[in-house]
Amino acid sequence: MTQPSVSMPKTLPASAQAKSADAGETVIHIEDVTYRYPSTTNAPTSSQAAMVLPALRGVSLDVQPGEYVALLGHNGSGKSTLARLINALLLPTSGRVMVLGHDTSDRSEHRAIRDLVGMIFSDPDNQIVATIVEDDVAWGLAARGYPLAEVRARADAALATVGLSAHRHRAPSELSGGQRQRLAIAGALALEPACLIADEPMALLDPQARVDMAALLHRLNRERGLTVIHVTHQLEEAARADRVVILEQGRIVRQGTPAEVFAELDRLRQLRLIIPDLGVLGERLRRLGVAIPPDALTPELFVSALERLKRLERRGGAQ
Amino acid sequence: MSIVVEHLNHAYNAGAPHEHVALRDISLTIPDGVCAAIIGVTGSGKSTLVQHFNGLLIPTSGRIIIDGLDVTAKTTRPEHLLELRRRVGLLFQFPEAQLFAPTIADDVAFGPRRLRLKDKVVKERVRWALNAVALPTDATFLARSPFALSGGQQRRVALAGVLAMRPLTLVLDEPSAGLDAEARDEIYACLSDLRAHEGITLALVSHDMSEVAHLADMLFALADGELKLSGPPAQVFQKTDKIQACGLLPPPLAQTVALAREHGLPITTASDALLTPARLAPAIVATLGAPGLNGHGKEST
Repeated sequence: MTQPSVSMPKTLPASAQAKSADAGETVIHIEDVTYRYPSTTNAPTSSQAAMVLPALRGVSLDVQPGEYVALLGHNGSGKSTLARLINALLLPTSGRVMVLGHDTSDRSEHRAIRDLVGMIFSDPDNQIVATIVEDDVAWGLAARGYPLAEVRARADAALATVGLSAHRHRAPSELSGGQRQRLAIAGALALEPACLIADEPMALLDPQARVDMAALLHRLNRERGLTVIHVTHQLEEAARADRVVILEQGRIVRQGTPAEVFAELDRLRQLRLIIPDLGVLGERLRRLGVAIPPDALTPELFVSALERLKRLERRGGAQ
Repeated sequence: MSIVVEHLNHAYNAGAPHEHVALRDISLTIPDGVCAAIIGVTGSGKSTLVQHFNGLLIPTSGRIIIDGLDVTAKTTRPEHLLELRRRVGLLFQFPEAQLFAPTIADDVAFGPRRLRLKDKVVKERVRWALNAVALPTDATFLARSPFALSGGQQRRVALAGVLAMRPLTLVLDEPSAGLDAEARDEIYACLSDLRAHEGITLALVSHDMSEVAHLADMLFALADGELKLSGPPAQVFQKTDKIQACGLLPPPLAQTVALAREHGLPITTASDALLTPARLAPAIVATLGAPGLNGHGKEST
């Protein structure tokens, strides 16, 4: 991502602003939602449990503007189902999902909701529709009938933001997996959403592309104030989130800052999550009396924690 | 079953204006019974390489000798390739996408039936293969649809379908991609058992350095169609710069040690042993000074 980012208007579409004023500060308001798949074949993971239990049971969650929320859970825990309820791909069996004041149960609101909530999945090829990169980004705008000049301007800005301007005339199939995922994000950004849902966005990427993708999502969140809901089963992807929400068998079982949630690794093991090696190392060091914070799950965070400890030790020695 | 690759070159559309050289002068040996991992970024040539292991691709020049079967551009005959594909099983990425039969039994039996084996033998193989991937073999389970299983179970059914061909070597492309902890550990357990009990040689294509560290005895790192690094994981992971030059990231623990060194925190580790949290913790304590230095680190059990 060497491309400079071009600033895009941070304001929400007018309709959304009007609605958001009524609904207070919350971007996403999920109220006591239960969801049962009509038949297991429609479930994102068709596990046995899905046949018996509803995919979601009594889930309530509020997401604030500019928040980076990681939805964490193992396969079949309900995290993808929850993500799909937010932009009205699924409708709750009971309970309510509100997006900036728009109720997803009202079909006439779906268009507004999908403009406000962009979504990307593990496999970008599922949402790339055009044969030329810039056409793909423009597609959503053109389909909504925006004037050509605005389609151009917004597509250009979105491509610049994700660092694909140089590839605008290429075919998406010639791009790497990481570039295609960035193209999918550009397509979502072109609609200037208030919230981006990324459902396991790094599952198919190679390690460097994962690092780049994490950097892009956090940059969009920090610089644009874009609300990000990042669905993942990997703790390290959630380490820099503002809030981690853990789902298990369709319920929210734990939430808090990464430092709070990751302090109880044994609990996370029970929830069938993979504890990264750095998490295990931190746990061992804490037992040896070294105060590594539980959310130091990336090499950068871990080494800066070590540096802090080293400085403390020097200061301690000088006294 | 050993795999010997000698000066292998592979070009797609050789001789055409849009010729693309995918592999250049690759030489490597995977001894019998070993688990070798082929690592590299997208486009580095690793999938092209492993597709030579069962004759899906034939070298443009150079050769590959699989269990004594010599595959070169000139000598290869169809019957040769058939034999090769019996000996070498290939599990593609996301193999559950290839499940197709109405029942689990039919899906796993598809390969052996094409070998025109007797029904009784096919049934035995299906049972053996499902057993090898730790799935039930009772009649109720066999009659179920593979599509009603969880993602991890579906992947193991797909693996059973390859195993039912009784291969001597198994080539796996990203076997744990997209699986959760439990499903991943189940796949790892199956692969370890197959090596231990059947002596199957494994060639693994992977992006996941933790997976590679866990399973592989030898690593081969490809970049731009060339072999850049090879050796046991503990050695290869020490060469942080060279791994990064291949566009790969070393496992997080190795990255952390290298980054700490850059920041003036020299953590001393053994050069021949794979980094583990258990090995690294005392080394970090030594680097920071005496334990208990911070006063607010809680001592737990």
